[in-house]
Amino acid sequence: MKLRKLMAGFLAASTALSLAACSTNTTSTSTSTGDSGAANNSTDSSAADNNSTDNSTAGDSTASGDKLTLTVLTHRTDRKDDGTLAEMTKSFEEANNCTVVYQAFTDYATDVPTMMNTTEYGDVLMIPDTVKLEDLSNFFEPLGTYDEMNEKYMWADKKMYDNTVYGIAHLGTIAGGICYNKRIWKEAGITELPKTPEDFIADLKAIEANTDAIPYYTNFANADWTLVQWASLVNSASGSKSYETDILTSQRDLFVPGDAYYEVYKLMFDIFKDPTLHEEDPATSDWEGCKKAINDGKIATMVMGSWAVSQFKEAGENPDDIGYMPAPFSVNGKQYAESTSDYCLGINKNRSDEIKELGKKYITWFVEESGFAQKEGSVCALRGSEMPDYLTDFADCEFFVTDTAPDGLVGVWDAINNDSEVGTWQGDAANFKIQIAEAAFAGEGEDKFESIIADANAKWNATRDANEDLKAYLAAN
Amino acid sequence: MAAETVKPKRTFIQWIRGYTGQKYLTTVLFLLIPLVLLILFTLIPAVNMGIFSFQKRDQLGVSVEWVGFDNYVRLFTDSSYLSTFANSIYYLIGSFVQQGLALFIATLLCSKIKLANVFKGVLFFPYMMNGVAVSLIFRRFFQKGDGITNTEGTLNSILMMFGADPVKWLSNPDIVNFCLVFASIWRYIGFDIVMYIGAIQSISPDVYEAADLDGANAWQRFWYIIFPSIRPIVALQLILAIKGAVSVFEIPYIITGGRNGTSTFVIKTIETAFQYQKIGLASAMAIVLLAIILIITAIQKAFFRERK
Amino acid sequence: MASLSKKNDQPFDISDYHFTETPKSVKILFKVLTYLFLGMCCLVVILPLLVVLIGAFKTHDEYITTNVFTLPAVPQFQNFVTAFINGNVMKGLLNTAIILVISCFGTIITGTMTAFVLQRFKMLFTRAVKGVFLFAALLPNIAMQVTVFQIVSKLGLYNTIWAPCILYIGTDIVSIYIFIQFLDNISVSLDESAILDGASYFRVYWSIILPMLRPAIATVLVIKFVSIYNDFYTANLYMPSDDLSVVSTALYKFIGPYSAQWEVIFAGIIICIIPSLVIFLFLQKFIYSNLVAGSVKE
Repeated sequence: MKLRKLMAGFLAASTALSLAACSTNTTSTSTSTGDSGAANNSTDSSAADNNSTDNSTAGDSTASGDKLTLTVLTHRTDRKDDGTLAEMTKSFEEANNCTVVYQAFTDYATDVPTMMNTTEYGDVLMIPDTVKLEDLSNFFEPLGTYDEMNEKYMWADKKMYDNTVYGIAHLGTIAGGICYNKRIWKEAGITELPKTPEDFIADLKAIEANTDAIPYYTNFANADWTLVQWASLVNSASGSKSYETDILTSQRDLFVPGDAYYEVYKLMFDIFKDPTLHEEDPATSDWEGCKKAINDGKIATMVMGSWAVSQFKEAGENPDDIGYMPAPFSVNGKQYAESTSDYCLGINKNRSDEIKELGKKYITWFVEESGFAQKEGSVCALRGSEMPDYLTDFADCEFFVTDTAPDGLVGVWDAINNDSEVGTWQGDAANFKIQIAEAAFAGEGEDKFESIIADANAKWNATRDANEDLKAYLAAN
Repeated sequence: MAAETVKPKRTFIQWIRGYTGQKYLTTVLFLLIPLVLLILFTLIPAVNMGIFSFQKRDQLGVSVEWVGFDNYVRLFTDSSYLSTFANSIYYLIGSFVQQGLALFIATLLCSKIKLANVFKGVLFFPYMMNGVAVSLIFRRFFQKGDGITNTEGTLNSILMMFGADPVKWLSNPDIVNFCLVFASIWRYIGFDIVMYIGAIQSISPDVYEAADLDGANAWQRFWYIIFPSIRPIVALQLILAIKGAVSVFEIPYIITGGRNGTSTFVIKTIETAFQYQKIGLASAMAIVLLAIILIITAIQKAFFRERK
Repeated sequence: MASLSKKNDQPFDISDYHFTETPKSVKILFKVLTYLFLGMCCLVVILPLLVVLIGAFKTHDEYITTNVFTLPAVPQFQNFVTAFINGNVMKGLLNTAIILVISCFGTIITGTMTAFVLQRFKMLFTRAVKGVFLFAALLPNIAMQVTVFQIVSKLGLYNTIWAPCILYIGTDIVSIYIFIQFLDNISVSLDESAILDGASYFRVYWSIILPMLRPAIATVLVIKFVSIYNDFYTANLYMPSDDLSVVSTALYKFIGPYSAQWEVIFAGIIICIIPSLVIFLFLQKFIYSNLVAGSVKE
């Protein structure tokens, strides 16, 4: 009896819902995907049918009517949800008589590579870093030769193989920087930004002594990506255009005292081990809340890429208080900042020529005209673009772009990094960054830091010594 | 029970022949779709996983290399993989506690108690909740406030009402696993309670009446009447608890990300696959996990056969 | 519940035990303690949720300055509006409902058919198939999704509402087991008498077995609801299109580097819980009785 009632209820509810679905779909798709959606929905089919027809067209990007649909995969869930992307793209859609559909993934770096085992990975997408450079041609449409592209765009070599470029940076960042609240730093009596780790810690201590703000916020509860932000300081701290290549060819340890890798994480250890310099309980830190807190001056400092600057500015009433300073490392008294590309936009090579053409137009438009990079307060890949205004603190700092790895060493760093599971860019639970942070929070001494570093070095060296590509390269040079 | 299905009666030989044909036809027709789905979405992927475990491959499946038993060798020689099973002990102990507590509460709710349905409803509700919601709720629950960016979390607020000092629950490696086990019990105990209630209610009321006449107290009632009747289910639950403990994943993954010594084998597998792009090694890990679960299942089967 | 009823069939003589009389005052004390204990347990369950509910109505400043249990000065509904609109919850609810209906219907049809054949026809083939299903139920699916994705894509189901539906139907082995175990308790004499009357096997399935399986079907419906409603992964990977968003993906949008503020997240949690809560309140008794029927047999 009960079941029958339930079933009846289910059926009634589902009928009502599917009817409602029909009507809402009609309105919503007609606005979001334009004519094609409305045309599909005008036929009297079920809700499920509507969805499948709508979306197979979106997925395959075949022409429906005379309009093309371009599906773009993005990691920016926030900019899709707040409508920024759609709003911005209207002009492109009008100019090219097409429809652009954005699909955002919370877990972009995991989900999209899975999709890339098929041809279903959108038309234009942020190229996942999982794709090895030598495999780019299996998945992406060539955009031009390096010389052509390099003339026009920065970081043209980021997704390049055999002199062919497969992706253009959707925006770039100044990697060697730290977000801070200018007002608080000033209130603490700091007149000059730190140039060395010692200065930096002294400044944090001054903030602790002279203000109510938390000097440094670790964001350890989201350590899987927040601690990885520290990795982006390394190249800048080295001041070298060929830092990784040099480490490989000199066959030295990854972490050497006095050298960038060691010093960056030593600074992290030193800050994290002093409970007065950071939030009280890092394990329950609060990324969601810290954005407004740094804006309000309750947090003074965070190691975050320049991509976060715009988020911190937007989070409260004091956008002008948010500053971005060079990483506190100097080489021969001079500070450096690596400017590096974020995700690069590429074109799915399995698409029709028509879609590929449209995709190229889209990428060109996105990089050159959309103004997305500027709006995000980032560096635009188009050469000659204005630098973001918050880079005033970088006046004495030398910007540089890391050199392309020499032939024969392309991909070797990543191979050793992954095989050894040292994970310079990873934030897994057993990663050295996480271990260093945990040791620091637990109040362990320097010896623990040294032993974590030694362990990572040992793993690195063992894997490097077994790497055939590196052996071959060293033998040849 | 098995052979009775279509017990042939000699006088109906011809009739049966017709049914034999029908039986095969029905078998084929009824199983066609489920088997196709099983093969497509479970067996082919599983066979592939087995194949992958002998390969070196990344998530994209380009440049695949056959490496024989290398993945398995690494798994059993590098202690960093299998050592993650250690945390399963916490969850194993936790699930024993959970079963005991569930049984106790179920027994209480089956005695003459007012509002039993309300209690039951409240305790069951977390089981219906989304895993992400649970993780967010518990991050707030165990939060140690700093008074600047946020206030004390739920647990510390309660402690402070009683004058106790706030505690950094998730930072302390000695207690963090217990916190996670607590979250796990919070989420799943309602299911067990409801299950045990069902089992207890299926005991014939006559038995209780007899006990009441004899003036049995609650403990006697439980120990001499209830427990013997539901022992098979308790045994089954404990074995399921072992299986659950070796493959525990969601609660630590979403609350602490496996940090502060809370990692588990499945978390390690996911990291190996997606952070380090070692689909081959991760497949081997999945196969090892499967083998362990199969062994536990075999023990379970043997155990229950013996009891019958 | 087979094992239970069998247990009860055993002669059980309560007079074998010698119970001592408990004084009345002790009984009352026990009662009080019982209520106290149960009340405490419920409090433990409710408090974490209560904090979410209160927090969802706070402004950001209130959230970061006031005690978790302090009520907001003026209840804010803005957080709900934000979460509702950003999460695209309306569309999510509709799609979730459609997926639920299709998947439940499909699971019940294929699951009962499979169980019928596997349980009633004991041949070498069906035994083997049953073994394969059992094996499949134990597989950890960690390294399998690459292949699954390839197959879904090849079938042309990617980014359609059918992808999750067919995955929910096709990979649900637990339901088949619930049906099989339930069938163990349905006497074959019913089938036999129908067959004597000349009914076909399909007729036996349709007119006798299916109606008898009602409690098991209810159990499966409940388990399916909980698992599908809360599943984020499938929808996220297989239907990235906006038009196909579901409720659980709405909640995930608030997480990650670009996440929202806690008050909004809490409002999102509440919005996601409400449909479960409504269904739960309406079907409370039903859910208990049927979950029990299912799990005991698992």
